[in-house]
Amino acid sequence: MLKTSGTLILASSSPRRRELLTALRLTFEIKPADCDETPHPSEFPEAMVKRLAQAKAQVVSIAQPDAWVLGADTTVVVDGEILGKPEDDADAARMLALIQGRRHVVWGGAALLNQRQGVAEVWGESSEVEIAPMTTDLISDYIATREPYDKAGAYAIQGVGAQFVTRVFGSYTNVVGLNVSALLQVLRKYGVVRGV
Amino acid sequence: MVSRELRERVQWVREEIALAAARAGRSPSDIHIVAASKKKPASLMLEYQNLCHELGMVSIFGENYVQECHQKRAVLPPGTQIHCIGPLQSNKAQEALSLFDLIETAHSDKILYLLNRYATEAKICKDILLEINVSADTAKHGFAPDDLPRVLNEVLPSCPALVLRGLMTITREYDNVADARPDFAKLRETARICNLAKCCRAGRVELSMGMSADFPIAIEEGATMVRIGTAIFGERSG
Repeated sequence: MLKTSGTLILASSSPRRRELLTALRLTFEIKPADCDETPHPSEFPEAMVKRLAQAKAQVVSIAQPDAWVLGADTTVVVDGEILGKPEDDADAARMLALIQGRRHVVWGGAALLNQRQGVAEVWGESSEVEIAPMTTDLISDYIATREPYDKAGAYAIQGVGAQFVTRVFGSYTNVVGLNVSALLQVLRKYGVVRGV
Repeated sequence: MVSRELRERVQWVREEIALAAARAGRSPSDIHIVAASKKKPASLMLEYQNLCHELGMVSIFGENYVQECHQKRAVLPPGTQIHCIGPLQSNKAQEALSLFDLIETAHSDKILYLLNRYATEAKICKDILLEINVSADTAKHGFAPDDLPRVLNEVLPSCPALVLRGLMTITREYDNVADARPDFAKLRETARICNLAKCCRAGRVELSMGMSADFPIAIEEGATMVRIGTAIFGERSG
């Protein structure tokens, strides 16, 4: 029986992160955080996702100092180039052409904050994702489903895009949006969660 | 952790690749580094892997020996990409199939048929590059450029378990690295003349050419894979 001590808040509007936590039967609230997500110039992906995860959690934590606030950020990187969410069809096509037929790196960062208890735990990790070769026609068809929009790297590993993901090296949930194994380790460490 | 020397070397290589790509009007992401790790310890390869992830890159290694690759795979994370970039002996062909993600050195009819036979038995497909002897260096393996049409029309169709990805060459050693340029151009031209895009997976033709001393020139001439050892890992001590 999973027991949560105190209030756990997910500082993210991502439906995928919400589904991951719900599947674990965690009890939590959702308070999306607005913050500037622009990468700093020449910032490495690991530093960026950790910084943004913490920034998102911070915005909510300040307003709710007693709560355990969880922030997360995920980025897709190809050859050192950080791919954000596509702005339009042409942008999505460019990104998909870049990732198809090869592997790329997904960096995921997360932060658990509790102002009252003085906790600011930040962590991150990388996974490699292999994408099948995609013809320009397939790329157009996939973009027409609209799924690439609001996804880092213009694809969803767990949606229609799952058909293009041939292999994952490292954590799968990290690629989806939040490594739940690492998260539960942290939640147990601080006694936020007991049981399963 | 990642040593400063490795970080600086890799940074230098990436900058040189970016400059060469810019000169050739190409995108740097079109060019892949195959880190030639023969005789280098697995610990150094792991360091390179960590550095790659830090930079947001995927690592690819090039190994020459089946035995060495076997030992390293035992230590490296599953899924580590390793190409075979050394001469492949017939008696190692079967083992090579399970150890290498891409065999760059398919250099004879015999090796092609052998690889196909073992791959078929194992019920797998294997990516290959055809090794071409552009320098006409008698000391090097590889098909002659003029022989490529025959291989494409007569040999590969009998090798359905092999997936052609492109061509590879090891040029002869030149005192002046600039003298390698015609050889690189020749590999590119050979691919074009034989309409390789029609035979390669997803229409993308890989050209593996260029090493530590001459990779910028190779990139200017169209290289998509550059095999770099010394410039990344330092001088070989063995």
